[in-house]
Amino acid sequence: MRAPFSAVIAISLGIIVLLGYFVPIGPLTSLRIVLLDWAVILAGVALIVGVVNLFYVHWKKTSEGNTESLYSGVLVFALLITLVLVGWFGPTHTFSLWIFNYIQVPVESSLMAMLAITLAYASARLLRRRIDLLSGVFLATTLVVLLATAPLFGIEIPGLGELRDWIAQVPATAGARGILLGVALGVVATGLRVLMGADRPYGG
Amino acid sequence: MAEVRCPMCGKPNPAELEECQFCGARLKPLVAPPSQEESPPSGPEPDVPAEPAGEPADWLSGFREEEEADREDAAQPADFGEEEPELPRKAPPRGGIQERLARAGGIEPEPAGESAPDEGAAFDEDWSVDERAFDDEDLGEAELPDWLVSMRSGEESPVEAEAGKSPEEPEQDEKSDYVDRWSPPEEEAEVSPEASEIDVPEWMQGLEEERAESEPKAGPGELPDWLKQPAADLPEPEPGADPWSAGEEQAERPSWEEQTPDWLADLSAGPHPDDAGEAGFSASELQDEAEDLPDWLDDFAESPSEAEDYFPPQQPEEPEEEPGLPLELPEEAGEMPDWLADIAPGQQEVGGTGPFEGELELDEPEGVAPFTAGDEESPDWLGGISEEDLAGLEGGFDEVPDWLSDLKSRPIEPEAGSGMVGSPREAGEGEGEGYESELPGWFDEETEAEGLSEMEVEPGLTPATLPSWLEAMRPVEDAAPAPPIEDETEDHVESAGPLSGLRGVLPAEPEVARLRKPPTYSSRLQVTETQESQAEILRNLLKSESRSRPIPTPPLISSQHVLRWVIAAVLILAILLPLVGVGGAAPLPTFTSETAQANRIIRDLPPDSRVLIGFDYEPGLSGEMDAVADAVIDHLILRGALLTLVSSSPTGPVVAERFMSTTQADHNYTAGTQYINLGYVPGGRTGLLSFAESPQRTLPYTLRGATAWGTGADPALAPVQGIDALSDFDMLMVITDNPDTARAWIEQVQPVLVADDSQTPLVMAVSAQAEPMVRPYYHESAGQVQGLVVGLRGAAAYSNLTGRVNLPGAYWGAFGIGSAVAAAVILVASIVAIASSLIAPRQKRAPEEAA
Repeated sequence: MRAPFSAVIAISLGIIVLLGYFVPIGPLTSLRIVLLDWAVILAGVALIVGVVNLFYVHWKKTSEGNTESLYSGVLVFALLITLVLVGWFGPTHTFSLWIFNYIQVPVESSLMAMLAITLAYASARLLRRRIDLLSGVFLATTLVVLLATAPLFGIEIPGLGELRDWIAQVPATAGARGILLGVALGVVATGLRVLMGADRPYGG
Repeated sequence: MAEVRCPMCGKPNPAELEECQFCGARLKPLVAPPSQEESPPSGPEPDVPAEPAGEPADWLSGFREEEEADREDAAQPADFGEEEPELPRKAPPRGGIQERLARAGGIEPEPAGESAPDEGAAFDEDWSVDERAFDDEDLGEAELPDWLVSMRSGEESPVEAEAGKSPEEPEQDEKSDYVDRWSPPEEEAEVSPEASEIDVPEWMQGLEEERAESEPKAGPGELPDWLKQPAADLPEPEPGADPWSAGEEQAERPSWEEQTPDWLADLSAGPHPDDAGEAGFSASELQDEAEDLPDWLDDFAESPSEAEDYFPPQQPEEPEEEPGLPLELPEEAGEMPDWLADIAPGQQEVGGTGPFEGELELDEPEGVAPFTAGDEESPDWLGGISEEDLAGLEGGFDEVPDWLSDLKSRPIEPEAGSGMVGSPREAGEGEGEGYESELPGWFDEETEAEGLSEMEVEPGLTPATLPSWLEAMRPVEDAAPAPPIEDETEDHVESAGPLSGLRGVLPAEPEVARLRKPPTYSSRLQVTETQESQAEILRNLLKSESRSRPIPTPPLISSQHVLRWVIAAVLILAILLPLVGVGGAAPLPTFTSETAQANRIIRDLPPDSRVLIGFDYEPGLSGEMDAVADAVIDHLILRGALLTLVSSSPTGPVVAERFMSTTQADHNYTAGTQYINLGYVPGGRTGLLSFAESPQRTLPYTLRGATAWGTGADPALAPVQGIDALSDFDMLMVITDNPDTARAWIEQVQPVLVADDSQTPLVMAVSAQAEPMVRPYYHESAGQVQGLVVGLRGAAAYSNLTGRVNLPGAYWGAFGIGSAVAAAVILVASIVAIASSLIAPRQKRAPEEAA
């Protein structure tokens, strides 16, 4: 009973939004906008539900008393402090920005810095793991982009910049366009399947 | 004979009747007298029509009927009752003599147990009667069977033909010897007929008479003329005349032939010198055959006492008085031919039954002893008979010994000169193959079992080429492709119960129902050494699989750790060097077309233009994205644009606030006045679409909680004053590090920016990693993205365009050194890896080559 009802709702709403996108009719556009607002509200609520679920899960892990409880306790503590401070003072308050500027941004930036070193190390050991054509191509591309992107102490290697631009604009863009085309076709197919009820990600 | 007993019902009938008055069966056989036309031809193929199987031949039927009639006549003086005449057809108490004789006469034998105690005497009388009845005169020419007629006409039997071919000795000599053997001494010829009639069997008397008559024709040592003539050249006998019993001879021996049974008549006819001559016997062959004494005769010679026991002589002194008997030739016994040896058993059969007891001079030791001369040459079958069957003679004459039973079964053995030339079997063979169906059952059995086999194994004889008609007369087993083999392997002989002794009876207890101990099989598997070794390998493998491998403890400091720390240290030092003033002043890169396009769009913005900026990058990438955003937003602020900040990332609004409060602090832009932060648009693509469709409904409030849109909005919020749609903004700039977010802005929001008469430009400031995914949307004039600033290099180039020394310029030197060092590290490590990979195989191959 629930499956056809939910399928009818999903398919009808999808068709209304699609028609409102292509057919600029007042009521249809208004209905489409209302539906989109509902979706945004539901997404916001889903974010809140996610945060609550995160808190609940780590709260339970904190109560288990194992070695991972410490990390979960830190998460729960940080969540509560941020929620209290940002909720109380607002997101643009100094306390809120302090937490962001001195806790969140350095932590995430440090992760990106470690990522840079890890990638450099992995590239250095790439040929130790495997020596073949693709590994050589990968390493060559990496070296060209690195050397062409960064200033080499004021040394300009002739043609290296152009080679870097050619790699970024031709091979990389060609591959990305292929990916985008594939993604677009996949999205269209998925949308049609959802509209026809063949694919029901909402369940049923 | 006043009465004739019916052969069918057994009841007496007057002799004048031709048919039984009780059952209507014919009493006298309808045997046509042998005429000239009916006499068997001397050609190769005797054309005798085959009679239906299962029915006896006419000659056999007549023979039987006549025999029955004679028996009945002989039984009359014995004063038996009404049932007594049937006794001759019944089997005697012991032995199969009567049975076989009855079978020979076509009479079914009856079980031995049904015979009366005195049936033996009656049977003896019957035999004497039969012998008398079996006279050629009584039979008459009209009653003679064809085969007898053929024999009398000189037809040569196959056995005789074989016997007549001896390459070792001249034929003339053999014939003379043969005649000599049959020539009685002078004193024997003088024996009074009374004595011979008293002491000698009558059939022997017949032989004597025949021999006596043959003496003037063929003296000893020379062959008569008739004997020299080939059988084919002999004159044809007169119709109705017996060539060897006709004329005066026949008249002189009526008493003998009257008492001789049929088979004895056949036997007696065999040794006739005329037959030998007609059949092509040679004297040498007969001499050889005489030397090849049968074993039974040898046994007699070896154990005369046993022979005496079996055949006690009533007149021991009389053997010398009977020189005419062929079997009483002691001196010549060693040369007795086989056919004569066969005659003797026949006589013994008769003598064993009673009436011949006092007449059988053959059984006397004196008559048997000379046979020892040919003992070593006697056939094996006779030796076997004498050893095994003579033991059964211990019962005396009341019992028929087994060897006599066996010998009785041999009256028709095709021994050369045995007198069986006129036997029914040979006659049947001579009549063609169709006659096989007419042969009695016992005939075939005996022939297949004994007679023919002996003939085949006759030593010293060379197979001769027989005429075709003789070939057709060969024994049945030769004519038939293969004798029928009775498969007795599956026959089950019942050993208990009322069906005991029967063959082919279904067992009462099935084989499967019999309890037996089940067989015991060894449970030990028989494996080879190879299989056992392989099983051991598999067993060890399974044990090793179930065993947990200990996890090797990683060393605290390994080469990988060292290399990792070295790379990290190098990179950190390279980045820190510009901070200390080493290599920090790196020239900014030249701008690219997309950077210049972005700069041109910003530059072309009108004063107090309202620019929507999407801050959608994460705090972790703020190091790069802050520099990129700084170069562009700095330019916008310089241009006096009113900024509206929005973000599709939860952290975006805070990042925007941080960015405006930190990097753009120099511009002293006031929130709510020069820029507003609408905050976070939830829902991802849907939220962006909703924001693009209806920004007022999606984000009605600013991040600080003030109403951003409509009449109730703060008039100080200049950035959104008069904005009903996103197309009302002068420019849309998206700052993001995520390609998907960039695509969401391009795909969901950019179409809304297109108005009827104008189009709001979209400029993207993205990180270097998002460039490949955003660049496809970029085009200077017709693309969704009109301006593009990519990464720190793009930001540095944009700063180079604007001439501003800001954050991208500050990072550029360190970024350049860090990138160069990272490239150098990767390059060196790759070279080392390649070199090590090239050296290692050589080091591995070196020991192998040295070895």
